[in-house]
Amino acid sequence: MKLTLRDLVKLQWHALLTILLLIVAGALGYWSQQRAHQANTARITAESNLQQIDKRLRQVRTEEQEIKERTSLFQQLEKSGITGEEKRLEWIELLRDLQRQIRLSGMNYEFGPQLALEKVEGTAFAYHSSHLRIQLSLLHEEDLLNFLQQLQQRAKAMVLVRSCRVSRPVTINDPNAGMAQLSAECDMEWVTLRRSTGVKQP
Amino acid sequence: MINRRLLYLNTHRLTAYVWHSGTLTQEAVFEMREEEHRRFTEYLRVHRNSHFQMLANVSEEGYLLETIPFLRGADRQTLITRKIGQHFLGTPLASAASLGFEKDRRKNEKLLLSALTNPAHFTPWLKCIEDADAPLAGIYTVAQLGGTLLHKLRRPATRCLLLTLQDHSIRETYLVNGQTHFSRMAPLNDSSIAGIASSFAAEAGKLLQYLIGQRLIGRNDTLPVYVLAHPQASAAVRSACRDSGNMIFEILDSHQQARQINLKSLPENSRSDLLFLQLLATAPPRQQYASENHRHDYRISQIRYGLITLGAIALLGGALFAAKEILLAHNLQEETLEFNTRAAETDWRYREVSATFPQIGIDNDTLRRITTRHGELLAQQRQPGNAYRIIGNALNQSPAIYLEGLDWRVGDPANSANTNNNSAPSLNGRDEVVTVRGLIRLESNATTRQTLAALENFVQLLAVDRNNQVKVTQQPYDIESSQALRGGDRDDDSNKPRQFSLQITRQLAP
Repeated sequence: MKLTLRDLVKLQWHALLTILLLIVAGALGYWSQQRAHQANTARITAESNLQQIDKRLRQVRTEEQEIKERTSLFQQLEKSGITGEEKRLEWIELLRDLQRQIRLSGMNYEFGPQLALEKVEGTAFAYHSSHLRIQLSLLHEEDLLNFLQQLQQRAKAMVLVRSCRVSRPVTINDPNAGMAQLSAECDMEWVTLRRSTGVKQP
Repeated sequence: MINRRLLYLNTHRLTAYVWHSGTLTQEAVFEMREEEHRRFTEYLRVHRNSHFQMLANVSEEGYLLETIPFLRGADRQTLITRKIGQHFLGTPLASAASLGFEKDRRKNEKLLLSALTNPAHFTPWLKCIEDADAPLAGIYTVAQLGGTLLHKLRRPATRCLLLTLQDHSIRETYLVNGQTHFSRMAPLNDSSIAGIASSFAAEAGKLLQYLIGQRLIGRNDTLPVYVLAHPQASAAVRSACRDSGNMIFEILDSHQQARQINLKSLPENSRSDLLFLQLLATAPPRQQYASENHRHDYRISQIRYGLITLGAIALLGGALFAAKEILLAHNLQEETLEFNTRAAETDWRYREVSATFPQIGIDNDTLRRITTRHGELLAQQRQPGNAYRIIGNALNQSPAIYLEGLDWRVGDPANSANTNNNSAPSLNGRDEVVTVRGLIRLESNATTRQTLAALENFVQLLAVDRNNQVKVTQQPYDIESSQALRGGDRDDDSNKPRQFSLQITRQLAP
């Protein structure tokens, strides 16, 4: 059978209708598939959310005691002044107090800029550290140990001593050295805990 | 649903019927005149979306048994066309049915050729159909449907005669295995019941004699003869048609048989036209007489309905698929709703439990992280006191050792302390390293060996603690093989205190 142009004219409306029906069928299938896909995505999200919350609930039940202990520790940190912004004014006052208390004849110190110890996203809490280099004139090495111990007990930060160099002064008769028999130079990190986006203290 | 219309053509007129679920309704009758042809064209145009089938009951029919060589495809068709041309004078209204192959080595094919030998009788009607673009499915004959009728009526005779009445003539058909091998039409002179009955009996005998004469059947063969008659004429026909030596008559009640083939329009007289039209509508034979040119618009119509069917199937498929997906989406949404409800309930329980904890404004994960990190940092909180005490004890037992300096640090023994103010400090040291710098002061006459022995003693005192790893980084004398060694007879150098340095590495307790 050979189709002529006249035959094609006879078939045109039926062909168009068929194409239209095919398009409608395809569109219907695509739309319904998309709807099912979206529903499936929403279901997966909801299931994942439920699992996460459920896991959190089971965890909080099994670790209730642990969380209470950790909460207590956190409260201690808050009380000891480790959390929040650095209290540099109080730090230098403490250094002066200790110098007077232990009767150190000389003391020079330099706090470095605060740096983050870890990277966390958002406004989560993160540990930050300020480096301190301090030079002390000592009568006895025990003065250094007392100084460091007092510092770690009383400072409103977690003080981590990284190094201490003790040596005899170059000239004992140096008038600036006073009665000092030893000189010490220590490096330490003053660690505080604060929200990562908090404003830095100048 | 495609409307089906049946055109019954006899020698005088054409009658149009519409067929619907076994009911045949006569729509129009067209006589053999030119103005009637125009009316027929208009009729066709009105019903151009219907499919038409033509049933012919004319006397000009030819049947011929032919044998052709074993061929296939175009060669076979060419040969059949040639044979039809030879036997039926080139009529376009011809058909060929295969009766199988001979069982010899050549496998010749047996054919039954049949034709409507007076195409001029059909030409005006076919011209009308062509002009109206009406889809003609095929042209069939009453004789062709004889086999179908007997098959439907469960009369499976191998060879038989069938006598029916149409118009004003009797159709006599000889059938072999349901296939019409010969048929002829005899005029009916007396239309009364008695006349019809006697005509059936007479024509059956004549046909039998003709078949014997043509050697289509044997002289002593016995054939069943089926006669289709109206219920009112059955008794008369039965009394007229007596069984003879060669013929066994069976009178078929036309109303009963009509019901058997699901024809709802029962014939009102002895004519069998309606039964054959019903058969044509419900079970048309495979062979028909119209050429492909006559059926062109039928093919177009088939394509049209094929396209619509394709679209409808696609739409139905799309709708079913969409229904399945929507049902799936609905189920998923219900599950999502259930998950959200359970999540809200679980969250409420979590809050209930959490409410018993001290409120500190941070979540448990963060709390866990910062307190764990606090513990790690706390482990780094060291003082040099322990190292000083160990060194002090060793110094007490080593009077010759004079201390000049102590460098204490936490970290890797290979690296010095990190004092860079601009980079984040590494607070992960696991060792404390103490560098001791000092002098060895012995008596003026002390030998080099005694000086080295004093240092060795000091080192051993420091190494009493197994946690201490002591390494001498500067000897009082350069006696290593890799260094130059100088000396003389002067005592000035030996009287000087000798400098040394050593490194103590201690592993921090966890």
